Amino acid sequence: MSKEQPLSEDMGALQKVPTQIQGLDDILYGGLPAGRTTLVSGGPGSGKSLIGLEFVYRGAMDGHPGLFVTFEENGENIRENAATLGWDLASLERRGSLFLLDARVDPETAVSGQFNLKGLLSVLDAKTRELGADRIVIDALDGLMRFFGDLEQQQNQMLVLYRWLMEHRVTSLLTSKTQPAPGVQNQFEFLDFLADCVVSLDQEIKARVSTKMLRVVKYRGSAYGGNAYPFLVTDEGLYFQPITNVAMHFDSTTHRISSGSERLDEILGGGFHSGRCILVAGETGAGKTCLASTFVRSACERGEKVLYWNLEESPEGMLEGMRSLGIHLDPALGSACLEILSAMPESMGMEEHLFLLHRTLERFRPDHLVLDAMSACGRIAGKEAAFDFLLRLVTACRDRGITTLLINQVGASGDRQELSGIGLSSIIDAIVTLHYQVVDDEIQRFLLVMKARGSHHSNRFHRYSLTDRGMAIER
Amino acid sequence: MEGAGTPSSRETVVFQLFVAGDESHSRSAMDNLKAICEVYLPECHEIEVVDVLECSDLALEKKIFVTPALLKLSPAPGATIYGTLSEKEKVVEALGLQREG
Repeated sequence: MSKEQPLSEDMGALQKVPTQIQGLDDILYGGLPAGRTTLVSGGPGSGKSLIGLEFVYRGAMDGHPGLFVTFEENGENIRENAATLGWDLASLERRGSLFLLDARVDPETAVSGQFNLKGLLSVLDAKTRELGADRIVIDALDGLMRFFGDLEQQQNQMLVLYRWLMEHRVTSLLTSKTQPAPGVQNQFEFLDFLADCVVSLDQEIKARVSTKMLRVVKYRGSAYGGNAYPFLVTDEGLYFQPITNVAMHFDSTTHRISSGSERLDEILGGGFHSGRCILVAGETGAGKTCLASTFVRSACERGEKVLYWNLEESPEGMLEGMRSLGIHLDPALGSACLEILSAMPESMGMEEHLFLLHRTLERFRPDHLVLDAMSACGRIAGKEAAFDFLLRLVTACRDRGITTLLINQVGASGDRQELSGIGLSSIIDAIVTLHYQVVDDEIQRFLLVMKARGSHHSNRFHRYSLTDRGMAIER
Repeated sequence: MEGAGTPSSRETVVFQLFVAGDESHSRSAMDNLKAICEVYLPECHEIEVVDVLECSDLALEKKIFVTPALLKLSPAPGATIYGTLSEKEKVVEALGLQREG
């Protein structure tokens, strides 16, 4: 080794470089360690190259020039793939914000005797200086190391590379294949040890849906989100939506909004709280969609925007059903206050559903969201996943001040656990349950407000009927 | 044999040897190359030594990322060999050389 210097300097305050990848910086508590090395490992197709590329691309777009060194894929393919995500690498290259170094080696190249990485380092030296680059991605280490015969040589060269990166104080992201089978000596193990941040990528198949997962294995000198986080490759890049500090605080400053029914407003002690999460639970045919639609109609009449997310039926079917109950939503649709998002739960994975929702929230910016029905979420990826899914959904809405009306279809037993919705009660601010019973050939329907935080709500069962003018609650 | 460098043609073989400064690998590669040329290509070879620490542009252009590295530029076919060229048989084979007879 030419220069001896301590491999790890004292921590001080760790500076971070945001990746600007949607959601990833929340998991990394701010970003990658500045001027240090991050190792991202994963199998083929796990998204490791894309994390590296997006990091360099977003940086370049934001005035931080960077180098992307590829040992695996040819440069032209990388440019083409990036273009499908709307990333114009070539123009960044022309502007001197990004340099794509195609360093693939012809596998037929003959080898005779020892050699080292100085050629690469001198090119990196020159390009880093030329661009004023502060970030480098090397994809992938195994491609680079293939030519170094034995383990000792490989480790020596990785150490040379690591020292170069540290000396130049660039923020680097190195990718490598997932560790080989147990028992095989692993040449990258020692790099795991050197790197300040180690991230591993994986794929998990649950309920026949394959989900990409990211896990931070270590982050020297920093806290980090410790879970396995699902992520998605979308047509705009990577997308993470971690559950961030699900705060359970209760903000009493929100104002009241009408449920659309004067009588229900009274029972609730003054209507719904805007920006809160309300659960409406009941058996099939109890009138849940009717209650929700009554709210939707009145909100739209007030000029508020509502996103109705229907996992149960098509928009046409739903509109038709409501018409028969005297609730006409067509004017709301016409005035662009109402948007109906319809998707079968089974049609895509959880991350795709969330991404679609997220994108619609960003574009449409609704005041309220109706989810019909949360019970269908279990069909997206199983029951445990449904909890995670709903928590993320409700959190995303609350962060934006969006009222969430969750509709939950429960079985005939109507047990309390089920009524209050997959253990979510801590984030639900109000629960309205609908019940019915058959007495003397007549269906009797009852509404109960089980909970309404911050309200003096009624504790009684209230009889109601479904008429051709909507839900009529008796006095 | 791939045609090039046959004794009768006596065509000059042009090499570029990429090294990184004056490290021991650089000197070994230089010495090994000279020795091989004296045996196989007496008076019909040219060697240009390129120091990548000085000429990173050329290294980038020729896609030379490890050193030492030997490029045979002409006559065709070209060849690339990594390393100090210490294993002579491999070099001779990769360059398609024959001892002058």
